[in-house]
Amino acid sequence: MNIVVVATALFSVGLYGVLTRRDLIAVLASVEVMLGGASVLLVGLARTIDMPATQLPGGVESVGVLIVVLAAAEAAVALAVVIAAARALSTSRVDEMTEVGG
Amino acid sequence: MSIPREDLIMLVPLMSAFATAVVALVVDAFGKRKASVGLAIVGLAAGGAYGIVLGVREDPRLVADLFASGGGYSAISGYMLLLGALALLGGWNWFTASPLGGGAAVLIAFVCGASVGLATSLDLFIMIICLEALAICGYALTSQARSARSAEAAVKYVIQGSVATGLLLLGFAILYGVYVARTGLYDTGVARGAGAPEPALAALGLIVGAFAYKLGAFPFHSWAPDAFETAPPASAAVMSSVPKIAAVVASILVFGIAFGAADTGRLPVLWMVLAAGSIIFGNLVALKQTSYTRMLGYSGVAQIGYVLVGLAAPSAAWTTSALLVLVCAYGLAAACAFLGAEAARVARPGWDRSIAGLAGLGRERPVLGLSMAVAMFSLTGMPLTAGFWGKFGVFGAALVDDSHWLVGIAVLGIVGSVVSFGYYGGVLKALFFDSPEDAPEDALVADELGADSEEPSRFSAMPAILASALAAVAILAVGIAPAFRGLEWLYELLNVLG
Repeated sequence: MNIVVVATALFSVGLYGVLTRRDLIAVLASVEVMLGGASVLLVGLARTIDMPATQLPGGVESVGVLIVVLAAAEAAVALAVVIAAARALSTSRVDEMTEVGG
Repeated sequence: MSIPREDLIMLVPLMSAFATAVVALVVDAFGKRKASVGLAIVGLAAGGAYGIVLGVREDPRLVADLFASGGGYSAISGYMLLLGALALLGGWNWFTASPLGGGAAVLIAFVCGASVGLATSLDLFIMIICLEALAICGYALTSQARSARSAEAAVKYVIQGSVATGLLLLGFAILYGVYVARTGLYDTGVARGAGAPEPALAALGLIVGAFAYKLGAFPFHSWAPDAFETAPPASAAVMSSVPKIAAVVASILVFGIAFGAADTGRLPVLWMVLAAGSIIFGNLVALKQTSYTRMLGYSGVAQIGYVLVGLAAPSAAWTTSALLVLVCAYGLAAACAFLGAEAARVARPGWDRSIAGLAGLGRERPVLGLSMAVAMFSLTGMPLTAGFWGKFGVFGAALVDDSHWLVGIAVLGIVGSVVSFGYYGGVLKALFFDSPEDAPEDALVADELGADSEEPSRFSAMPAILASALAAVAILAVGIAPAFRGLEWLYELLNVLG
């Protein structure tokens, strides 16, 4: 059960960061913490339950590694988008991006 | 793990999309942009056509316990690839003229492949991979207009999308942990029957929220109008259609199989709340839009509301097929409408995407005007268009239900469809009855994407007009066909769960 507590705490910290931080880089870092929390829960549960896990070759741990790769790919694209936006709008704060709406 | 040869053939639509993307990527790396886009069109169209053939010829079955194929699954896979090819054809000017165009074509091929994977996979984690691939390509496609507005829209899309991915992942992890540590949908579904532990409720809420986000349903919609307004129209044509179709099929599979009928009490209530919110909010906000593409974004929220009515209705093969007809018809009409915007962008280099700026375009370019008119009629749900048969089936199934709430939501959906003619009709009025001289001055400021490098001639808008005309013909064909072949024929074609 400890693993559930750790994972939930990680996820909650990440979600709190996304909701409260205003700087884009901090928001992205918080998102990564959220994804980390979810993958810890997944891999932790696989350990505790100890059953044949998935049809995917390599078991659920391989899924955990896969999620790390996915998160890295997402972070790469997200950073590119954020840098493009910071250049175009000369700010990296979420609350100052109010051009699009209506 | 070995897959028999006859099963491997069933995966051709999926593999052809990714193979097309990789080949187009390599060709684009050598600087051959036109060849890259051309290859992507041919590859997707060939894979799509083969998918339709498989759908008609083969019965639904499992491949390697990971993918559903044949029947409706293959037909929808093929359909999504064809939509991708159509959008690439329509955006030929943008994709071949812009330095980012070759990359955009590759991304669109990846979007199509990931959508096919999402719509046919029966494993939670293949779904996660496909959803994430879709999201990443969507962020990149949105930011490619290279304007300050599109950069801002892309940032908002990235943040909301990443949070939704986190929620979905947590939901799937709980589902996995609660139900015997299996990731296959059927395994969780079987375990589900043994009794519903309470943490499943948390998983249900998280997964519903994440899917509502991917579908662009109220109140998780706000990325959609921003992204569709600012992205290049040809990319928006793909983003507004293909991933939504895939997400609807995935919702049917996840909630139909993994959560099963045991949760009939809670799930329909969630869908109904989301449906009512989407229909009311989407229609009312779309009414006051002045930008054509932003209006299409908000109307997409309302359209997803109608789709959710179908998800809330008791799941029978008939309702599910009607639901798929509705979302496929929406995808086609939305793609047609966005390709109309692409044609308008090329035909009128100064167009700022406002509805007023379309004034008189329908009389200048009758084929384009008629195609956009057909798209608007189909989105409204007029008879003789594909959109009618989708709404007919979904609202019909909801209206005959015993639940008063469901009947109420269906009535709300019908009222919403009537209201929607207020803004779709506004486009028709601008296209055919307004003259360009009446357009306000500010409707002719420079377009964000800039004019194409070459001087626009009468023929430069041809690819976009051709693509939207093809879409319009398909909308009419599907709209008229049930009169000759019967409605069952149309529904049988899209039969999943069979």
